[in-house]
Amino acid sequence: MTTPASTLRSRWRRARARRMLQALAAGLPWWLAASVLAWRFAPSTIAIGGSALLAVGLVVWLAWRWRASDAAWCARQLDAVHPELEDSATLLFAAPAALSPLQRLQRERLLARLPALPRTPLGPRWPWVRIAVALLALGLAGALAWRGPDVLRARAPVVDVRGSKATQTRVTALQLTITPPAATGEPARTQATWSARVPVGSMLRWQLRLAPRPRHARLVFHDGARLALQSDATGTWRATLRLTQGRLYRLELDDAAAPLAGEASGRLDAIADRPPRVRVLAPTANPVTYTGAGALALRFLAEDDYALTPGARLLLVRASGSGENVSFARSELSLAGRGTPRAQTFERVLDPRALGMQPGDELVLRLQASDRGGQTATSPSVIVRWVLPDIAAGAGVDGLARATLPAYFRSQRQIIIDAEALLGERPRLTAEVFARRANALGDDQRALRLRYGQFLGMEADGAPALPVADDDHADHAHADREHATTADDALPLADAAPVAPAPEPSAHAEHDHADAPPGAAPPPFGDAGSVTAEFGHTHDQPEAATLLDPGTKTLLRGALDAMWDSELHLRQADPPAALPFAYRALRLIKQVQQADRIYLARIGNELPPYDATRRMQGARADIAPLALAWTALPDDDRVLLQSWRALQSPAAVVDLTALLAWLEAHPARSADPLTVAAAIDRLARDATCVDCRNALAAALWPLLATPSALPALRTQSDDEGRRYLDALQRLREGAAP
Amino acid sequence: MSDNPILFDALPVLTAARATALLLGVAWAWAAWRHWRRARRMADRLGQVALQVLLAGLLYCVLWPPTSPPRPVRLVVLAQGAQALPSALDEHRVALPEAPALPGVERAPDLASVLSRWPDARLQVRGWGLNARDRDVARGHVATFTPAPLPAGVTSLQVPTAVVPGALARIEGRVTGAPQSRLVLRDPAGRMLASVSTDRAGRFTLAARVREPGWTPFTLERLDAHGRALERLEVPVMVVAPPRPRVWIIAGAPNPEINQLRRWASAGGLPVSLRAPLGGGVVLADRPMAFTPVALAQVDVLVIDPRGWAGLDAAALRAIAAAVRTGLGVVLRVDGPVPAAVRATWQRQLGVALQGDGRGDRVQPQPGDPPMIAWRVALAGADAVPLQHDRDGRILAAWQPLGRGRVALVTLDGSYARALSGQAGRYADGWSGVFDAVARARAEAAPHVVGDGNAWRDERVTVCGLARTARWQDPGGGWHPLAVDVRGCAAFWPERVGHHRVAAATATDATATATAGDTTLDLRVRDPQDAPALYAASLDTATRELLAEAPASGQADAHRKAMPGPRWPWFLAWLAVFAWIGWRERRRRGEHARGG
Repeated sequence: MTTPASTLRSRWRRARARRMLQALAAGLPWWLAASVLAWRFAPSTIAIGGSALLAVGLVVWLAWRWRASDAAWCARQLDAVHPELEDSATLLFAAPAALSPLQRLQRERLLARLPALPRTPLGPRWPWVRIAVALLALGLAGALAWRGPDVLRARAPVVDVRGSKATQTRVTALQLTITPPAATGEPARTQATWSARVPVGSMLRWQLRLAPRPRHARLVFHDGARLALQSDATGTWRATLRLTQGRLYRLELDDAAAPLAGEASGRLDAIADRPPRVRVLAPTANPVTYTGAGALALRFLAEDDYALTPGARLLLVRASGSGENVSFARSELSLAGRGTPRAQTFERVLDPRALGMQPGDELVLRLQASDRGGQTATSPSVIVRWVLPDIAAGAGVDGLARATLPAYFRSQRQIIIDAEALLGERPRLTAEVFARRANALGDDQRALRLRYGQFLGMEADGAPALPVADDDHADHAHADREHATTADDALPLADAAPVAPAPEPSAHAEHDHADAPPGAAPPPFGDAGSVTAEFGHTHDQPEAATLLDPGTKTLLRGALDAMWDSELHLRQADPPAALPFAYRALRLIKQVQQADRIYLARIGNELPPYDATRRMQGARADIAPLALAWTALPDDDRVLLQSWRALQSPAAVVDLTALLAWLEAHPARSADPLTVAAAIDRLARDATCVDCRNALAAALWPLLATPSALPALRTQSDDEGRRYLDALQRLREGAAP
Repeated sequence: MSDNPILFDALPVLTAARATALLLGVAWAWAAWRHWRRARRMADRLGQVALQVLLAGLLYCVLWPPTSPPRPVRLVVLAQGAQALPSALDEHRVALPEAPALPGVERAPDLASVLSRWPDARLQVRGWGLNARDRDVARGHVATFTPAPLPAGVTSLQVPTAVVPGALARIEGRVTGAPQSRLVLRDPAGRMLASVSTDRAGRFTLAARVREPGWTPFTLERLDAHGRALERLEVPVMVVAPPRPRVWIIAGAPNPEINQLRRWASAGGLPVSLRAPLGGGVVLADRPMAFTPVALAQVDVLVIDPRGWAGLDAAALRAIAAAVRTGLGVVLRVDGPVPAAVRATWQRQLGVALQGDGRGDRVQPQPGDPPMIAWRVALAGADAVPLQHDRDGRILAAWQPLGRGRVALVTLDGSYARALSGQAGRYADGWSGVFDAVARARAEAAPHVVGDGNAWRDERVTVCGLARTARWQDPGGGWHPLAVDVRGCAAFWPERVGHHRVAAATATDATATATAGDTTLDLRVRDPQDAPALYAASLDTATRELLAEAPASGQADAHRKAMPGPRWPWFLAWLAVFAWIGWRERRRRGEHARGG
């Protein structure tokens, strides 16, 4: 059972609570937003203090609202809501004793009417707009706190000067603006840290605030360079630098009274702009063999670390003709690329015939691309060959340069000399010995004949096994005995065998080599024969090598005939009869030599084993003593080695200035000179730091050259060991005899 | 009075026991006399006296309990890495401080305190093993060892203690618990030098060429499949500048081989002399060579070829042969067929018997080598040691001993082509290997670490091969003296991780640097936390060695000490007798009172 008074009180209470809720809903988000922002962007003391202050304010405001919601307020609200109360709701809250009778009568009426009134909520309506605005503010603050710090801190750093108390200078704001060169196409950026990796040629702009304000400030670089910072009216210090190489730097102040608090240093890495790289994607085969029909699809890929200039040039070189009569025609095409500025593909379909290509010609294609920094790169060559199905034989022996087997058989001149010597010795020789030596000369004559016969296309099968310097020939000693008589013997046939083509493989194979002969080793450098065989076409087919001109042929044939006769008589132990033919053969060979150009092999003749018993016997009057001096290479790394050695002992002093100078003089020695410079800098500022010494030693290690290995001596044995070894030796020598 | 007889020497113990016995005897005599006078009946008198004797005897036994040969105690010692195992009923378990916390296991500060309580315990060690602190105490006590599984990682590591500049430092080791591990060796600046996968047994070998003398901290990393480092160990290598061997080169004639040899030796700072006759009495030489014992004693390596040998007179050959027997190293460099006369003198003077027909073959010992010639001769002696061989196993260099010296036969000819074709490193490796083997043994013995070569923080490091004045240096550069025993060994306890140096003797120059490498030992002290697998493996190995040197049981009995028996039965007996006497006394007084 509710009395009218209790009903009234409950309505008052509810109205007051509603009003407080409304105030809270509109005020609390604002306080929360302020607290969040303060906590995120202000030092913690400020944040806590401010937040508490605002909280107190909020509470005071709420309390004031509470007090304002008194009986009079409630009566006003009742009057506003219920016209039935006839603007007399104040009477309901008044003490009945203090009222006049009329008022009391009115109060009774109201009280009687009260229970029947609808229970409309009292007080103002919900302030939805204000609540929404407050919540929006809270959301905004939350978003700022979550994602906003970089923006805010970089651009508007919070200045905190209370902690330093002017004994130390603080960097209260730092902004480093990096403007890469236009060629890179990269946007400028801003950062709030000292270190950066930037493209070479970037413009760097420092803006900083220092508190308290020093008189002078500058940036000092590791190579000793200084960059003064300029201060403007607003207290911002500025400096600008174009970075051309990697550098370490730090901030230095002139104000001794307030030194810099903490470390203000950084590392600027200059990233070099690399030239573009161009690759051939199609055709995949190289060289390309063109058969005279179809088109050639080309595809190139060009890449750059920043940006390529649009378009590329396709360079064409057409080589036509053959032999010494080759002419070149150069031309150029522009290609448009597809893709991003960093990677572009260039495609083109070419018809070689349309470019004027003839059978036998070669076409060389290259793509040239450049980047915006002005660097140009060219692709590998694509070679297109229109190979002739059949190539006519050349008309001359142009440049025979084949690996030769050493020719130890005798020259025609030698045969004549020996035959005459044999004739001279004849009185002192038995007939049998004379006949045998004449026959041996006949053998030599035959070998020579067969060799020259190869030029006329004679069958090589009958060629004798040539005594060559292979180590497994049983006739080694035989050859030595016969040939070691004159000084020029060991030389190849300089006078008589000028045209020295290789013996044919069949002749070669007759030597039953236990292992590969020298000529079968991998083709040595400069072996022109194999080079042309591998990569080109030879105009002189092996069988066409005999295609000498008729005059030469006649001469050669005459020489061979004379050799034949000479051999015949030598084998019959009749050197006097052989000599005229031998002379005739020599004369004819000389005519052949003078008739043709000579191409001598310039490679790898193997000399026979030397004869150790034959040493210099001649005059030695002019031989003077000469010091055998060893000149060491200039010691370029002296500074580096000294530093390394000094770093090995904790007490030694390292000459860091000299080391830094050395490092700058040898920038290519280190892949990362800045790291070395940083290690030097650390040690320079704290000479007692053991870790810094170790770090510098570790950074220097890759710079040291690797010395060639040296022997390590064995540890000497003690007395017991020596006695043991001596006893062992006595035992061994006692057992041996 | 302590119940620990170990604290007393034998004589004071006996004296104290005798004094007690004397005191008790006096007290008993006095009590017996009083009872004798007060008792009326003879039976009472005798009973009282007998009881007093009993009491005194019991009291003596309480104070000095009779000793008994102790029972062997089965004691389970839980060391680091021990796992919870079901325990047998009759065993006692003690956990060392490093052991993990296991419920219901008593903790002990160290093994010595455990053994002072059970001096005769037969220890059953469980876990990775005992650390250096407990190993000496445990000597002879370890009965069984139940190793715990080692943590996965590098469990064995052999790093050369000292290498010469330019040499390949080989780092060998083993990984357990992680098959197909990938290992990477990094240089001091962190760049990768070599990389290898473990073989089936988990073994690996990495090699890096070292540079100038000094402490070179390489790093060994064990990588997972994604290339992340699972384990990182510093494997520093000390590069020392060794004493340089003095070289004589005698050749029959100048040739590119000796030119290159001289160039290599000179560039490396080796004192080298050359003698090569040009014929006709003209000799190419840098200083005259005197073949006297005194001069030859100053030579460490003599390189000579057959023609050079043939060109020396008999006195010189005899002097060389005698010098080899006192330590000279001779390298016989074959550069052609060896004449029979030279073979005969080699056999006679140097004891070098050759076999083979002496012909030359073209060889390519390693891929990428230029073609060279190997002559078909070899040392025929049974004590020949091969030094180098080619891919087919043909021996290219070998040596054999002769007295205190050594004689090497190098049949590879034309190795200068290596230096000319960009393989200077191989050239230097080949010749330095030959010189290593034969050069006069002249290096001072360096100190060495006892054990597996690893040093751990807060664990004793024992170093042998020291002089009286030896000392050690901590990572901060401070030197500390060492107490060296008669065997030349000493120990120290490193407290810091890092580079420690032990100098075998105090140099006269207090600021001796790293280049005095032959008498110093450089070692890295590791933190067990940084290399848990390696640490566990070293504990394991050392404990197994302890187990191997544990004496037989009979021998152990001889060491047993007499143990005082338990006191409490004697005390209870004494109390019971005393109480009974007291009760009797009271009753008699009551009787007196009633009767009186």
